[in-house]
Amino acid sequence: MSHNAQIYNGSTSQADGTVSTAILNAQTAAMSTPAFNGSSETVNNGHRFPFIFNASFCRIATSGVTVVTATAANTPFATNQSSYAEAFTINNAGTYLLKANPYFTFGAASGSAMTCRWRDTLGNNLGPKTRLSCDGSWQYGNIVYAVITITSPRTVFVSCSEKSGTVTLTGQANLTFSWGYLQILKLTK
Amino acid sequence: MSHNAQIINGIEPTTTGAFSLSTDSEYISFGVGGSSSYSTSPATSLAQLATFYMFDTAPVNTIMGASIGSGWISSFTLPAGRYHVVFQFRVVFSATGQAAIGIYDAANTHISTPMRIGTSGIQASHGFAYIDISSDQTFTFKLASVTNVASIASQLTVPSEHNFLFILKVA
Repeated sequence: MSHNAQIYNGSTSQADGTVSTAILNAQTAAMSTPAFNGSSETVNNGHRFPFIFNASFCRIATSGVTVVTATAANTPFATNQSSYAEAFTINNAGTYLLKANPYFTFGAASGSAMTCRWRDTLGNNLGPKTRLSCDGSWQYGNIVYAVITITSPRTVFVSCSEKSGTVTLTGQANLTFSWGYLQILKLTK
Repeated sequence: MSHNAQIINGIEPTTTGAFSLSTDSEYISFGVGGSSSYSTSPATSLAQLATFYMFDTAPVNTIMGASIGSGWISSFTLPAGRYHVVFQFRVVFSATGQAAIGIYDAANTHISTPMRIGTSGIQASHGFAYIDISSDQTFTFKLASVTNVASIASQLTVPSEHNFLFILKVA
């Protein structure tokens, strides 16, 4: 019997009978930034959390992810949107883990808060709500998760809602974006 | 020579010697923010070590040999292997308080870092676990620590809208 009769997903085994099979075919996109554009911007319900898109702070191993540039219509930014992303279009069919760490500053009032969750431009909620809040002294960021399976391109973003108190993207130096984080992990081949 | 003598990860070849192996990650995803009152769950207590429940009507489970229910669930069963686990909860408080929720094994040992939230920072939070088991085991969510958590009826839809569980098989 020839060892080449052993076929693994279309690949043949080595002469010694060993086979290399990929258990985890994960691809990752990660982003962060140490700086904000300098002005204070108010976050309102319906806004998309903006992530900076700068090659110095991005690692994109995933082919097929397209960045949607931030706009004044969908983000708190009146100016300087072009360096930021408000959404990401995932072009390839498959299953993905979406993980983001949005961070806001609040109007220093205890109890100020805002809810975030992953949504898509088709109007679907993609994952659970998570909440960012302030106790008067500390601002709390949080992690927003979702798992999606797509068969055609899908544009996803972190949606902001249920605001209480004043919510801004700055106010404490550059913490907002230096604590922000985004990862898209592909779970299927 | 029998072709069945060669088995990889429990998969036997066909009579022509071909294997059909998945190269996708194996995972469980539970919780998409569905809205269901906690009073409709099987929960009977929110005291320390009480079982805590999460909600999803259409969870995804691609881990061979693993099981998890749908609707309101409090536990999951994993086969031998190694797993990375992350989970998220949120509860409602009746006064200044705190709550921690963790994963417990069949021996009632707390095997995760608990997610913990308090009244001041009223937000969902996350717990993590690395599970390395040599045989099937069932794990359960329980309240590790509580102070002034509101009644089951007062939780309304807050727990279901914020709960999340993701298990990734890593070996």
